[in-house]
Amino acid sequence: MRRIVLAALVSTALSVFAFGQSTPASVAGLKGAVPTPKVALEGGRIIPIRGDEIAEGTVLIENGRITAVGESVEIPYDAMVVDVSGKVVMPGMIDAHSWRGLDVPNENLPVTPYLDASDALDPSRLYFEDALRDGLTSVHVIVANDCVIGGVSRVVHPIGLTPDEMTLQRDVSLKMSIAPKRGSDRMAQMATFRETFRELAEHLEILAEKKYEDSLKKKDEKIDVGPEEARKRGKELIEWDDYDDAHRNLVRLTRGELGAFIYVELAGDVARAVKLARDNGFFDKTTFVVGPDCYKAVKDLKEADRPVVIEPPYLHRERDPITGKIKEIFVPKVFADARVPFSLLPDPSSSLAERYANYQAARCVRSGVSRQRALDAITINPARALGIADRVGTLEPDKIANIVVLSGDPLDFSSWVEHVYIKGIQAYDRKEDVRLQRLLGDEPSEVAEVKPAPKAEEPSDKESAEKDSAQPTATPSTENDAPKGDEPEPKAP
Amino acid sequence: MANRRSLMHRLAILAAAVACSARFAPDQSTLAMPHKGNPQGSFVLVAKKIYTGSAGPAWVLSPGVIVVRDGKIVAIGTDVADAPADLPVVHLRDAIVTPGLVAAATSFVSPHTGDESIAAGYRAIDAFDPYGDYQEALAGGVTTIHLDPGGHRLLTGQGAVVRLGGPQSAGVLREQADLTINFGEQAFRPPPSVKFQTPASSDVAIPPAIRQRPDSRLGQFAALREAIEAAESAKTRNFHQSALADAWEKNAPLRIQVQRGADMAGALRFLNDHRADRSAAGAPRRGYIVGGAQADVVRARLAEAGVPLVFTIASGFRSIPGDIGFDPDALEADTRALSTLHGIPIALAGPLEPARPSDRDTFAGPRPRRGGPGMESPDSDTGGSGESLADLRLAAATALRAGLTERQVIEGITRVPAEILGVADRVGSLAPGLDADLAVFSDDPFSTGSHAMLVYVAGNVAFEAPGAGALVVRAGTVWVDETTQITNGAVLVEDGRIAAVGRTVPHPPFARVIDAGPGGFVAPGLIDAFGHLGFEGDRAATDPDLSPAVMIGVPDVAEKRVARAGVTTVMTSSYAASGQGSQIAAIRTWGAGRDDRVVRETAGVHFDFRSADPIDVGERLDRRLKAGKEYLEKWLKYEKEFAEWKVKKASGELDEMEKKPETVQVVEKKGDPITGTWEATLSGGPIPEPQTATMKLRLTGSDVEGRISIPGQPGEQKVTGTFDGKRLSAKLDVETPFGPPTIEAELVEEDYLKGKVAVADIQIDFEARRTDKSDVEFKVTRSRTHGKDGRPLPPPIDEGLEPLRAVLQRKIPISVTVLTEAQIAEILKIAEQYDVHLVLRDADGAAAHAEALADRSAGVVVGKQIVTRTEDEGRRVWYHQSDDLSRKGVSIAFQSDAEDGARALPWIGLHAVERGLSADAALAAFTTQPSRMFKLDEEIGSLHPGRLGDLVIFNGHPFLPGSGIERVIINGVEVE
Repeated sequence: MRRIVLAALVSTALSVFAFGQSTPASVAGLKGAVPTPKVALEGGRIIPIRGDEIAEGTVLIENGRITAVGESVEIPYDAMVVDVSGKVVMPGMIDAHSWRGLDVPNENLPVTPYLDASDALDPSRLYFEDALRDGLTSVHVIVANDCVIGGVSRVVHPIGLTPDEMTLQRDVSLKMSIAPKRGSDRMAQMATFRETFRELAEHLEILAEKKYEDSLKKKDEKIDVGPEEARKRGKELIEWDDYDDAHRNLVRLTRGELGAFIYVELAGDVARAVKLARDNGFFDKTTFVVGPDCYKAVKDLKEADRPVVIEPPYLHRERDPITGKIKEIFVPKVFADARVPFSLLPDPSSSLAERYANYQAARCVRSGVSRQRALDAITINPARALGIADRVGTLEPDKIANIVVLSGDPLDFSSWVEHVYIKGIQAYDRKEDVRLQRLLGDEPSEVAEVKPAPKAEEPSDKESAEKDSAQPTATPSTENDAPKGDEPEPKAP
Repeated sequence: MANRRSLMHRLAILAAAVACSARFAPDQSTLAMPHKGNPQGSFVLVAKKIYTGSAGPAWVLSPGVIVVRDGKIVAIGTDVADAPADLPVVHLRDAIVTPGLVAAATSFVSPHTGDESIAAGYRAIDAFDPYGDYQEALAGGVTTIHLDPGGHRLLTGQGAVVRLGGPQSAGVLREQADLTINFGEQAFRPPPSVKFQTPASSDVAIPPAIRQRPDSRLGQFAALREAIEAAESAKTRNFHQSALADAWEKNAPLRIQVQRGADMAGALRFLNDHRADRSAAGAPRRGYIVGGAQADVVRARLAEAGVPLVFTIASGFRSIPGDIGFDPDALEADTRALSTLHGIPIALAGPLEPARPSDRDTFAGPRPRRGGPGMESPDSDTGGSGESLADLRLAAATALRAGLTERQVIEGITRVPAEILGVADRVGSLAPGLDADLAVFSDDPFSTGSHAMLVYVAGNVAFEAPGAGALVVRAGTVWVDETTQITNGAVLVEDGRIAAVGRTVPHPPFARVIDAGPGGFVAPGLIDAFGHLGFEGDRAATDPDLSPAVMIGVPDVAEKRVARAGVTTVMTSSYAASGQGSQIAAIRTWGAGRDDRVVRETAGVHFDFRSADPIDVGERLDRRLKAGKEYLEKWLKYEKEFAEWKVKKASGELDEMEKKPETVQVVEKKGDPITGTWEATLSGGPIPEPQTATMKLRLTGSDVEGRISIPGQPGEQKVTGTFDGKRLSAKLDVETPFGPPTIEAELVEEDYLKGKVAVADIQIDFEARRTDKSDVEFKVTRSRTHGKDGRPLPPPIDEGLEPLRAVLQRKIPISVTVLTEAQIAEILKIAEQYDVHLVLRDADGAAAHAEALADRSAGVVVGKQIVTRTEDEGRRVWYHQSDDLSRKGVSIAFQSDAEDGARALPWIGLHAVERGLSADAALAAFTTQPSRMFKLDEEIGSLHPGRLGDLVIFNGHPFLPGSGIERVIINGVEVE
């Protein structure tokens, strides 16, 4: 029990703890690390997500990609061999929906498709460091989460010096929300959607007409057809640069070049979201981020057959208005029973433990979801929702070597993340995690033994003195990525 | 031998009881609420009455039968014989069915947050969650509602018509049902409209806010007209204009909500004008008016225009508005106007929560969270749970009072609003082809005390009332007791007991209602004052310590038949009576198990002195009562001492008192053949293995005293007896139901005793050897009379005398079966002497002592022969005992002297009435009088609050010709 509490405290308290004391791995960036072309993780238990677990095997990485996974992998002579025997190797976990890691995550206007997450992405956010420590290797960063139509999101690795360096996939999706926020209501929300897409259509018509007129003007010809025909003819003349900021991304959305992440809060919102996506031509690129109430609409979601991301909290309570009886529903179980693939979200704003993606998966197993489904929900399923399943989410040859090495089973809560490899480069090593050591300095047994050897040579009195001064500042903090300025209260999507 | 037989008897009874409960495990299906687990989809529903809501002549069917297949009504009629045989039948014999109610005006959806005064782009349907929990609305019988986008703008948006609680796919009836327009103060002074440029840029100035109309009545018509013209003619339309133009083009109905007569007149003019615009070619503009204030002023114009009216009965049913003076212009609908609105289709609607100007700044805020702490209910703008929709029936009741006919009211909350909302082809009335939206009410839907018990939406059960355990029985006559009868009264039974009786009674939520009609007659459950229900042919007398209640279990079909005859309580006892008196138990004939069924375990002690000599009668009764009296006195003494001790204890006096030292008596005696320590072995008989015991005995003269300790049993037991030089006869001071065990042993040789230990008929071999002849020591303890802290200890309980203790305390009566005058005289004497409550059974000679009996308020359970014939000097003389005694002021009761034959008991009453007894006296002889005789009048026998919920519904006075038993309620549950 103590260990669980401790482990939970680690991540939350760390941020403030050793701020500025040493250079964290994330700030050093991938470019700063010396790339090793070939790495072999040897002797660990491998959970490849696709395919059977391998009790003792090797994962071979070449030039940032996985080249082989198996029991008997021939290790090239020039590979750096890392002994991970007794440990567990699995693909890096994926946070499918986060507004963290941004300088300013929201916008005041209701419709902001011209925003791009990369403009607000702050690589120095401690959130990214925590993400590495928690075994998350891909984070879907959403901008303008509270808006009716937000900005363009991207998937980033939680390490790098610039947004572009971090980026795994740009232009992932536009965030939309059926649920009203900031004093709005559903009628206004849905009217805004209709208004936006109607305005888009109208704008394109006028643009086409103008293009046709312009083309005639160039040829010094007079307009020869009615406006309807002109619009039809002008459509083909529109070039990419003709779209203005307000419409460009909406055009990409309706053409299927951008995905949509639609937040549905209540079960009744599901049908609205499906209709919205279908009416405007982006249904095939839509992912539904569903609130707990949506378990009632699981049939609708099954029929829609689009990726589903379930928003915490997962234990949903309802009270019968007549009898007063309280019903408890573990939401992911309902989706698992209906055979709807789903992604789980770590919940940094909730309790200490629910911030870990693997804890969320473990809860599912405890509530009767199969182990495979639970693990899928934090790896391959979010990868699919983000359209990056061809590159991450499993340990298979040719995938990007985003790998987590844990001290034990991912669903065992006494397991630690030992190493994180991103693109085959070690991005996190628990032995080098200064903040963790600061926090757990006095912990005996397992924690003590991971202390790096050189540490012991340092004058011990100085170390303890530092610790004493640092401890009080660490404990009261519960929020690792404290909202700054006009950031709203941390809220689920 | 007597003990042995008694044991077997007891075991047999217990075994029967156990077997009974095992065989007839509680039958939930018959005891549960009748509608649980109702079929859905396809079924036949049979109800007491059906209001069809149809315009045709068959607006009410009684009884009514509805046939539903796959969620649709396929047939409706009055004869269940016409129903197809393949469908399950829902029998709701007390229920009244209406179409699912239609609420044509609701505040179900919070007003939208848009600023625009003309805002046709907002759709109320967007704020509806078909998965929502609308149990509270459904509990009011409301299944279809209109959603208004807010009622706070001149053109607020587009309304919708939805169904609550059905399958989600069936939830939305009309997505864009109408354009909702508001004339009146609610829509005045909208906020200025601001449109920001996007993307925001420093190059573009923020445009100034635009003022919007209307500000006045004059302005509202102009603004609306202008907006419609602009939308129709504009070259490029904005979002709301295009929405308005679309709806206008499609001739969407105009739903015009008004505040007062002037608005209503304006609305009519507006509809008329816009109809005129299109009269040449197009269809007339459809529309209807929502409101009610000053409707009578424009009555003629309304009727002429044929524009329907949704009359909102705007009273604060749930709370008295505190700010009535807020708006001096606000008018409330005068319900009296309703009766003057002839020829106008009127839908009735409950109160709307006004979207007043002052609310505008706050409505966007989060609604109060529903549910308690820890509930994760999202802040929702998708309507409440519909609690206020339950007021629709209250509005209907108000309309009824205002002078509308029942038919107008029923149609005003079903078919007419469905027609106005354009959904009459699906819902609103009960006719073949329409959806099976049914509201099943516990009582007349006009009665505000009725509750929805069951609601179907599209044939699916959308609401089922929780079993409340409350039952209201209404009847033309409620016979509370012989002095109190209520005409057109009601009885409320709650949690198995009568909770209220009167002209009107409270209706707890979801109470079932049985309306027995004006001819109905509700009486307390009938009492059989002497029967043997449960004895199953066993004619042996029960012992004085055994109550017949021990054999009562789950009722059998035999009991059910008795119950169905109206006999709810039987004073049951064995056929024969023990000489020491057998117990009488008061048991109910129906119930889930023993706890339900036993009214009183020991309700009397029965003696049978029919064949005894009169002198002997007195002696026998006297002997028994004397024993009882001694026993009672022990208890009284103890109670007195205990009371004194408590006083002393409280005052602290006892602390100083010394504890009584326990005496240790050592007697030395040497050389006799008995004194010393004996090791005894017990074997044989029922003991599976030989047991050893140690005896320490002492001989004094021929008396033997000592102690025996048996391994495995705590402490030592006292042994007392005699020794005659060769034989030892002793008894152990151990209490068993069969008396103390005895030791009969012979000194076979020195230091060796051999013999038997006997308990009842059981014999155990006994042998003992003396191991020590020396003096023995044992504590001589007196039986303790005081506890450790000096408190007096209660006397040991004698089960056989316990009933007599109750008798002598006048808690229960003795019931004596006697015949002759002489016998009765003796018994009266003894009863007088001991001052006990007396019930005589049979008592042919009772008439001679009528005065004494009446004085002692002793009752007579009259003989089974109601009228006897004697010869008097050759003349035939008829004697009617019950009538005679009744007229002489003696309490009488009837007996079955049978087991399930008790079901014929009410016929005895009829017979007695036929031969002269007054009908009310007969009913009293079945109810109040036996309950008083047996001191059970706080439990049964009348319908006063607090009594058990046992009652019988007749269709007339139970003992007058032409009436019969209709229904029997025991413990608040109908015996089906």
